[in-house]
Amino acid sequence: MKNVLLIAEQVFLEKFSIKKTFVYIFFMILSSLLAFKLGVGTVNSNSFVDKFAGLVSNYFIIGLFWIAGIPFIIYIGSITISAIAKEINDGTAMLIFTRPIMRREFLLGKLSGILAYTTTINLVIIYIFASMAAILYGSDITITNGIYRAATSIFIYSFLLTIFILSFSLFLSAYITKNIVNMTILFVLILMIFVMPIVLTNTPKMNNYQEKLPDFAFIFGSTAIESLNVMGLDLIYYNKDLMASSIGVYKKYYTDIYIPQYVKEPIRINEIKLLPLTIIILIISLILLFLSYIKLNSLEIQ
Amino acid sequence: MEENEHAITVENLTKRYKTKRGIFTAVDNINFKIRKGKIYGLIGPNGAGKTTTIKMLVKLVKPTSGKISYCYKELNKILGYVPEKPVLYNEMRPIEYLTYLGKLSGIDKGEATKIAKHYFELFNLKESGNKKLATFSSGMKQKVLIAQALMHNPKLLILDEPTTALDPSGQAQLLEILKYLSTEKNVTILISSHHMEELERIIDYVLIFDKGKIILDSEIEELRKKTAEQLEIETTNPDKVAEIIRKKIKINNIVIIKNKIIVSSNKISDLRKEIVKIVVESGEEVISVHTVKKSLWSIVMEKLEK
Ligand SMILES: Nc1ncnc2c1ncn2[C@@H]1O[C@H](COP(=O)(O)OP(=O)(O)O)[C@@H](O)[C@H]1O
Ligand SMILES: [Mg+2]
Repeated sequence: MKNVLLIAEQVFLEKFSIKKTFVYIFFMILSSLLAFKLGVGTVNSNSFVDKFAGLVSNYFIIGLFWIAGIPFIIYIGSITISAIAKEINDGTAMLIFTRPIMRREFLLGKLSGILAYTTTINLVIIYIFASMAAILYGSDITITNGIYRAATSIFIYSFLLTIFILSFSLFLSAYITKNIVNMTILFVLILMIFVMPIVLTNTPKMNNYQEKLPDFAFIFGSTAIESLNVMGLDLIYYNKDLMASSIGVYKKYYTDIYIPQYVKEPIRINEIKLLPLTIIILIISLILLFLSYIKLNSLEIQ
Repeated sequence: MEENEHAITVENLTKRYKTKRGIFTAVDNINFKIRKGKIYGLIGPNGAGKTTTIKMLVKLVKPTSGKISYCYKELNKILGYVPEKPVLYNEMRPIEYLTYLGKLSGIDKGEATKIAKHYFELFNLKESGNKKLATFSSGMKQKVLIAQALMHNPKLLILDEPTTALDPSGQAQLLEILKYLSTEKNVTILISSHHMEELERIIDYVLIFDKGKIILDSEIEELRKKTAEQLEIETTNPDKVAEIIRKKIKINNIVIIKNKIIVSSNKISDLRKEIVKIVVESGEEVISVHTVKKSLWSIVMEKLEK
């Protein structure tokens, strides 16, 4: 346990000593605010419900999903891939594995260090963004309240996504030593979660082929929406539409897409609640972790 | 010798690699024993299999077949390992790096920092400043690499070509430290090199590697005894003096070059007095007498050339 903490601490401190971290945080807050500002600009309605929807559940959430979305996955993925594969390829792991450190301690240490680091920067980015949005647009207490609740729900979502991406990247780097191949696979994953749903929901519904395709993004889309539900933010159709095309829930949702926009009744896209979703993500991650451990344990370091 | 005096016992150790051209045997069925508290030189040309053997000893590489047994319960607690390549974290600073690895060896933070600073000064790394390791010269990197292996007072020290990147004073300092650790602290030391002369002064045993095999396993003193020595006698009448020596001492290995007689034997140190006495008694003029020793390196070279 002590060794796990030692390695985790090292990863954590090392990441914060790199200037790129602060560039990343700054870039994320700025671009999220920009997405938010652009979105808010399009809300013309004076009705409170629409304004609330526009601010909290809609553009704000799009801004937040940008934070927890593509750049986030690329960032965590590349950190994780390099954290372990680089040590093996460069041979720096030699001086760890010839010390009284078990390989599983090394693995867990690296993982918890990265998890602690990404969670910290995520907290910082999400709540700084939320506070700035609240200061700029939260004229009403309900809106401010909604902004923070939405921020928290995105934090839950991004935390679960992090756990999955961490173990997935780890698994990749344990079995494939070429960095470029790993980054490519990661990219394909991103396409499946974030881009394919948009393409599929916006292409003609020929022979229901969208229905037949496996919905890889299903778990993540559901997690995102359930995270909002848990924080008491029910989505109206209009927002669900945007949500569905910004994270991937294309399959079940596809049939609903032509229903008129302003239906205020909350509708669940999937029937799976957050707890089972969390368990599913944890189980998948544990399996990936275990497979990575098996590989790492038998790895020769040249 | 009792079994428990051996720190390491290696039996029928083999390592094969799958390569594009087929299976390559890097280490080919080797056997040796390492006695506690002694210094072993693993000598051999590049590609002889030294690094592969060492990697199997420190458990970074798995043997294809064969067995390695240690007298230590937990190898990694008492092992200090200096790899062949400078595998450092380039973004770290030397004291931070040494402290981190010290902590991973189980030393508490305060103590680890103290020891890190000690080696930082001992190896004259101060003049480099506490800059990032990426900016270090290869010699300085090597010193950091050696320091990390010494941090936790290892009982077994395995160094893979540690002298290559060092300058002469760095080499001398390292060898002095190793000799001290072996004689005063009873540390068992394995040190590899493709060059034996530099190690000759400190090693107790030599293992000579060639093409994956050990072609010589010997105590260095034994090797010295076998070494043929030569006595060079410079005289005004070499033919006559040679004749006298041949007659009285029954040595046939005598060569005459100009006005020098060269007598070769592996017992020269014992015979020297007698030979000089005979020559002086004969009344011939002796200009000078020298004993010349063949270097161990030349013996190794002979072995390798066979
Ligand atoms: N991972 C590997 N795959 C294939 N061949 C290897 C590998 N590692 C070492 N070898 C080969 O094994 C031989 C012995 O290498 P090595 O142990 O590094 O020798 P030394 O340290 O004595 O120079 C060399 O011919 C080298 O090319
Ligand atoms: Mg070598």
